[in-house]
This record gives sequence, C-alpha cells and structure tokens, in this order.
Amino acid sequence: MLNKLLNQKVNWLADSGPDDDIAISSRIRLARNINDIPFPQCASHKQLTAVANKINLAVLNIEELKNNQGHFVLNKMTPLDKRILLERRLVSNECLNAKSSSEVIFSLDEKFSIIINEEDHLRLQAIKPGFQLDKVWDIINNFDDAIAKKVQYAFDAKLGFLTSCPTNIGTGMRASVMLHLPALVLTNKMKAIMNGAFKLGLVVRGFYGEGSDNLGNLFQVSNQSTLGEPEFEIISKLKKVINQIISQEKNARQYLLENDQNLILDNVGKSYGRLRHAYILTAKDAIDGLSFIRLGVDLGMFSNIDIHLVNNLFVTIQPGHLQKFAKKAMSSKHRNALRATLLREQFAILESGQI
Amino acid sequence: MKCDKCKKNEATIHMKEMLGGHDLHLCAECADVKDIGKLPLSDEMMSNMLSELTEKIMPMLNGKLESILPEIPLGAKMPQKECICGWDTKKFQKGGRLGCQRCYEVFKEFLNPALSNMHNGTFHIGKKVSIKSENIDMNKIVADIKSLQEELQVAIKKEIYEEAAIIRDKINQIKQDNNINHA
Ligand SMILES: [Zn+2]
Ligand SMILES: [Zn+2]
Repeated sequence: MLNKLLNQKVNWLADSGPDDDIAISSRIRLARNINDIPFPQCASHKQLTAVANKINLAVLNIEELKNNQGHFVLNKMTPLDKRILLERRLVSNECLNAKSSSEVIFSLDEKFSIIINEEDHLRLQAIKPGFQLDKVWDIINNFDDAIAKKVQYAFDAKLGFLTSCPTNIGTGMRASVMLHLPALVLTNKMKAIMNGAFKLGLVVRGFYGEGSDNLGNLFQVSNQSTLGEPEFEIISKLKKVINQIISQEKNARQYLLENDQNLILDNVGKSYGRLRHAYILTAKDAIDGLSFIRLGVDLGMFSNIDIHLVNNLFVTIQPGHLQKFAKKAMSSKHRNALRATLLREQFAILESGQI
Repeated sequence: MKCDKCKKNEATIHMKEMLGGHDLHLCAECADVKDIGKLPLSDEMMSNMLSELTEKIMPMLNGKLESILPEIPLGAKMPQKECICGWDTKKFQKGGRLGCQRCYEVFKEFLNPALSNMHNGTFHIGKKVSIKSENIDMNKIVADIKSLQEELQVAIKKEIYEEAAIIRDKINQIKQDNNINHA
C-alpha cells in the first residue's frame, strides 16, 4: 500500500489547478466527534475501538472510497512510514505519536482522508491543487453528509459541532490555502500581509509551521475563528483575502522585474546553480532553492521545466521520502548527500532536454 | 439609565461592544477613565485593539489556552470542577482541551468568555446536523432496512460482532416500530 503511494506523484501537487502559479493547494478539514462518547484523550480503549468500527462501517457508504481506499492503523506503522504520510499531508503532526486506536483512511488519489481518534474522533480532510476552496468544500461537505447518515455527531444547537479543543467548535472547519510568495518575501512585505490577515481573523503560517517562517517562501493562510459565522462566509472571507495576497504577489513580481530585475535573476540563478551542482543539501537548502526555481519557471526563465515537477520535488526531497527511496534508514549526513545527488541528476536530465 | 460602572451617575455614553455580547453604558467620568471619551474610535485605537486581540490569538496557534485564560480567573481563582467523564479544571488548564461534549456545560463559566476571545461570535450559525424526520414513508423504511442489512453482512464479514449486534437490534427495532413481520 505504502509502496503504491510512493510510486505515484502527489496529486494535489502534480495536477493543475486554478491560479496554481501562486496558490499551490487548497485544503479543508472538518473536526467531528461521535455523540455520547468521550473525546479521544479521555476515552477508554474500548470506546475508541467502537468509534473506529463505527466510522469504518460508515465509510463503506462513500462511493469514492469503496474500491479505492488506503487504510492504516497508525500505531502499527514504523515512524518512517508515518513520516511518509505526514510529508504527503495525509495526516497531521500529532499522528506521529498516535494512540493504539488511531487510524487513517484515504482515497488512493490522496485527495480525501479521514483520521480517526487523533485529537477528535474524526478529522475529514479534502485537498485539491491550486486555488479552489469552493470545490474542496463541495467534496468534504458531501462526505460529511454521507457519514452523518450513519453516525450521530456530537452537536449542540448553540455551540455547533463539539470538539476536543474549544478553538475548533462551531463549524469545526479549518480551510487553508498554501501560497508561494517569493516576491513578497524579497520585497519585505510578508510582515505587513501577516498583520493584515490577522486583523481579519485569518492566520498566515510558514510551511509545516516549523521554526523558520519563510521556508521555501511557502505560506499557509487559514481561518482562525470557527464559531459565529457560517462555512460559506468563512470561505468567502478567506477567498477575498487570498485573492488580494495573490494580486499583491503578482504586483511585487512585476515591481521587481521592472525595478530590481537583478535581485530576481540572482536568486533564481544561484538557486539553480546550487541544486544543479551541490553535493550536500539540507532539506531547507533544497526547499529554498526549489522555491526560486519555481519562481523562475513562473516567470518563463525555464521553458523546459514543468512547474508540477518542481512541486513534486518539494515532497520527494523530504527525509521520509528520501529514506524510502533508498530503502533504508539514513543519517542526516547521508540524506543530505542523496538529496543533492537526486536533484543534480534531475536537473541534468532537464538540461539535456530529455523530458 | 445609570452608569454600568459606578452605578451612580447617569450614563451618557453608550458603546456597542465589538465582539458581540452586551452594550456598555457609562457616565462621562467612568468613560474617561476607560479612555473611551474620544469616541468614535480613531484608526489608531482600532489598530491597537486589533493588535491586542492578535496577541491573544497568536499564542493559541500552538493549541494552548493558557495564554488567553489569564484574562479570566485562573489558577487558584478558577473554580475546581469535574465532569462525569473524569475531566477536571486541572486537566482543562493544562492542555486547553476538554474530555467530552458535556464538559462544555460543566466548564462554561470560564470557557464561554474564552470562546468569545477566540472566535468571531458565540453562537453557531453554520451547518447543522439534521435530526431524522419522523414522517412515515414505507419506501424509505424498507430502503433503510435493506441498507442496514447490507451493513450487517459487512460487519459479520469483518468480524466486528459488537457492531453487528447493534445493527441487528436496530433492524429489529425499526421492524417492530413499523409493524413489519420478521421475515
Ligand atoms: Zn460611572
Ligand atoms: Zn466531560
């Protein structure tokens, strides 16, 4: 099963979507719990097993998942295998320390996944390439309805869907779009954008939420509030703000091309040189480099490189995928060497025009 | 109308609270202390308010509540409560999470003010869970039973016998409720 995943491109990265030069992917997740059963961290093993069974049965009614389903019991997986799921964003960080009854079910095209017994009994997630939150909402809303036919959710007329953490109650919905914003970073506009988004109740975070907030110039914009506004309103607010950010990024690119072209050329050129010729590359080096290659592709500087190939590289150069590729556990030193080799070879092929 | 704060002077300033909740009525004296004498809100005040709000929200990104809770009685002052699920004030304070759906009622005293800080409202107005209608539609009942029977087969096949028993009882219940003979 995992091998099947590894042999396929990450669909939400490798396929085309609207505005996908700047918006990489759109994702919505819904937090749900089953009525009258304590939330996972307070429930007994028996109760959690019952939850998992109920949900597994409910999922049988979803056409798209019937014959096309991947299924893992998380605590039976090796840390490396779990990392693969994380790197493909099928599961969240918390799943790495999964409880014995935590499971993940996903469609084989990786566009839809259900995490069972993590922070909440159920986390539904749908993801699509580019900027298409409405479509993602349609998908997840239908899945949610299908499951609600079979299980009774914990729901309160005043507080909406009840969740383990009060930051998720109400709609239980977190909608997010991943954006690639190199020109806004180069022109030092990100801080203002982040503050502006905050004022509107939205959150802008660096990729994967790890330390450095401009890893690869990737940012995730999502709603903070889940209570007091209907889903469509949250989504439309998010869309308005993201449209603005996208046009700001376009303006910043235009500005740089007109006024400081060397700054762009230098970043793209150095990045290409580094990925094409380096022998040691950390994940951060590689992601930052790929970011500028991506910008170069967008601006028409590499006619023979497909942007979706670059997108896919963002995932395949991560530690879990590298080790699976090598079919062995590796120290970071060896990973850095393998990462550099893979990228050198990839760009050598592209240079010789064989693809 | 008397001032909300001193409850002595006549209230002359009426404020709409921005984050939902109740309006505030103050006398000129008390209003001045609160620095809202300069109504309407200037842009600068507005941005200060917003940045204060942001600072409250920011630390919560890590899924932790403590940072916004100090505004609300905390620690010794926070009443010790326990829900039937076993969750108590201590556990709630520690991780900012709840034990079960009933906890929302048990801890509401300090939870509700926190909710209005984290969200844009205090009342859910989105998607609702439909409560199954009681209209008697024979076709639907038959279809329901059929789909339950399919589920039962799956449960048996997957050897989830506990669930199978529940489904079987559900089928029998529906049959009984609608005077359908066991076939
Ligand atoms: Zn007064
Ligand atoms: Zn409880």
